Amino acid sequence: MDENINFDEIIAKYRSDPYDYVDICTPHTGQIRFKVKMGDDVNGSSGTWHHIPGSLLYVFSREKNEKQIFSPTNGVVSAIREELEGGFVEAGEKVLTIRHPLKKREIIESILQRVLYLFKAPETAKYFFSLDIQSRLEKQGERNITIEPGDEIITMSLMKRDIAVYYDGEPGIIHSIYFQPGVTMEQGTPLIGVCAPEKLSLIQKIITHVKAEWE
Amino acid sequence: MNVAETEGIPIHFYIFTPGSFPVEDYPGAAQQIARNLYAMAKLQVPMISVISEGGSGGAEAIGLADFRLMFSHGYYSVISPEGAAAIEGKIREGEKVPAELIEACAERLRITAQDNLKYGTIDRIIQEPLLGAKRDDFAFFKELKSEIIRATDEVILKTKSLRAFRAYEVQLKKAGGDTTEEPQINISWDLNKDEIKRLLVYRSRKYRAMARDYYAGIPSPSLACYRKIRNISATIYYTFRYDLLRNHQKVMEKVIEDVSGEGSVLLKRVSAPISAAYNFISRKSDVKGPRPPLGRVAGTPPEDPYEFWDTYTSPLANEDRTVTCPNAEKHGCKDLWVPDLYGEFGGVCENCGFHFPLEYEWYLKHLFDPDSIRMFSAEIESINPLNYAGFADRLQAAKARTGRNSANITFYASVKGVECVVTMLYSDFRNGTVGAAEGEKFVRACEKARLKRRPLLAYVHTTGGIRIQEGTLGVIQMPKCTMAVREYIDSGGLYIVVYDNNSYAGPVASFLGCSPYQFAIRSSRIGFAGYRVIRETTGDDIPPDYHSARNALKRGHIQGIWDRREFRKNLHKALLTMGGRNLYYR
Repeated sequence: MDENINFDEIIAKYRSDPYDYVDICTPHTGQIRFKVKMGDDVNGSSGTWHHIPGSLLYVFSREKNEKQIFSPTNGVVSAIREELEGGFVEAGEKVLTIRHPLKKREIIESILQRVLYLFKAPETAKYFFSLDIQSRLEKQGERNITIEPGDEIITMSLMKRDIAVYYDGEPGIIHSIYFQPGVTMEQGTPLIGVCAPEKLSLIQKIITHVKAEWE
Repeated sequence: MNVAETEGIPIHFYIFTPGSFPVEDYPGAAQQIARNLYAMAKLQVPMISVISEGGSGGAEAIGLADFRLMFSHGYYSVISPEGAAAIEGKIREGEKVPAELIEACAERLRITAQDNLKYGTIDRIIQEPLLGAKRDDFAFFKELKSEIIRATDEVILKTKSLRAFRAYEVQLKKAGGDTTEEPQINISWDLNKDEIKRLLVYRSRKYRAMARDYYAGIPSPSLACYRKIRNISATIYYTFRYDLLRNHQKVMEKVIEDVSGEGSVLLKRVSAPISAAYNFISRKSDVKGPRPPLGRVAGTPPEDPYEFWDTYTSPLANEDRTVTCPNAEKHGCKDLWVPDLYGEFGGVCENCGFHFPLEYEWYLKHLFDPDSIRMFSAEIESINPLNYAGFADRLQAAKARTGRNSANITFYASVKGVECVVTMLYSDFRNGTVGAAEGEKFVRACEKARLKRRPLLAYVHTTGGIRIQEGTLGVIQMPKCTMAVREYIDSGGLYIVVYDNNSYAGPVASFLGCSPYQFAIRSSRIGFAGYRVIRETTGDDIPPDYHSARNALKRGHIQGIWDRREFRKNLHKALLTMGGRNLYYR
């Protein structure tokens, strides 16, 4: 079963390097002045509404407008381009890399993203489960619903008109739901993750494996 | 209070609060205090309030009474000494405030009963036993009861016509001090219509006279005499012009309108066959004349929609730099170049419409008709009545910097031809805080607006609340100004409040919050207490947009949000369509 080997490979990769490397790029042109050094600890935004900004990474100025750029996640500064200090940089230039230690949840999420078949949103709109699926959800519970290509699973509410969205892709069980009913989802973001019924037990095994390994 | 008013029973208020609970969610602390004060201003029963622990606005919410008593060991303050010390010492959140600073502030704020009696914010002190009254001190409670009954008697007696002997008797009781259960003097607590009227007049006079000695700018006796004569003649003139002539004119107009209406219908009926025959014979093709533009009454000069006046450059626009709009993440606004932003765009982001704070002179120039601003009461000056240490210099610096004497500017102005009276609290003078002088100017503006039958606009550019350095003299402005507003609205005026930038605390909870028409400029912040105070009082964290104008609108505290560039147009429309049956142009 080559899927098996794939999973082993993935786990081995995460075991060896359980980090996510976040590249910080400049938002526009300007003069950069770093406020962190190599190996510094940085924090992400905190507070109930993410209203307390993260650590100050660098101060960016253009036309006497000083803007402070804060860190999006917590972690350690792993790479920094010191030679750009005080100088002019173009837009989109990678200036910093933060090594963010992956938490258990994030590892599971990224594995699932790779393994599951993701059904993406066709338009930027609000999405709801269709009544059929809704009733099945209530009766059978999660992770017990099988869908086939051609089923109407999701209702898209675009400009106040409800349109049925038909599933195309592998037949299987709805494993994870990535949207909230009534919240606008951008075009192309995954809505649901589907896996074949045979693979389900395998995935559960992987997840327990990961949960046990990482604290 | 409504029940008491219906039944005609006097009310006794007991105030024992460290302050109000500062959350904004409906119904809102500030709005309820304003509503209370507005109702109490003209409540038709006698009210007595006793202050045990009085914390600022929360205490004043039920403090607008005919007689104010206070326990000798109680306190009545504008802000707690800890809060004042945190502000004075510029202490950050989480740091400890030094105890000596708290002591010093408690001393300076003059929160004791004796101080309050001296400054006139309370009427009488009830003496407690030496170390303060305890919970089981029943002798003290008996004394308290008799004191309150005596106060109620005094208030009621003042309204009665036959009172000489009973008043004397009540006075005598003060010296005696022997408290008995049964009342010895027969005073009926039911008031008839005339007595109620007198009660309201005395209450109005009482609050009008509060903090009278605590601002500068009182004219010399000869000037005061001249002013008095001028006021009396103005009253006579305006009464004649608006009450007598205008009513007469209105009645005449109505009669003429009715007669002409009837006449025209009659004429049409009679001449219909004749005109039909004439049209048939002549058979002229219809020539349509030029149609008048929609919405314009024939005969009025066309309005200039662009209104190019003398250019006014904001001093903020003289820097050569760019700023980022705070909504840049959400709406993708590009950076704004400051000369463009504060010049052409009027401080508004061109992409999302976020309003950057702008100085009050911009509004003076752009809101009112050119050359229509005539200031009055400009000589009333804020002073340092409590001799608060270190405050006199800061006050002097503010006066020198702004060139004005107080944080409130009152003036006559016209908006597209509609004359109105405006009071403006602005940020440059002590952050727009309200003290005795500002309250007095506000009350005078209400009186002038009532006299001349003009609408009253309260434009609040910034207000930081009550000036803490003026202590309870500032808190007393809350009921004083609310009383003036109530009288103005009852006489048929139109009171509009517009909030801008930061409008917080005391004024919002009293004379601004009681208006039926409250609007805000976009991106302004309106609230009762700031973030830090809410966090420290309730312990809960609050979202960063808690005080935004949009949330105030959602909660129903304001009726609309206006764009700064549409302010003039919207204000003109509001003046023409809203409220006030007794305005000069109705």
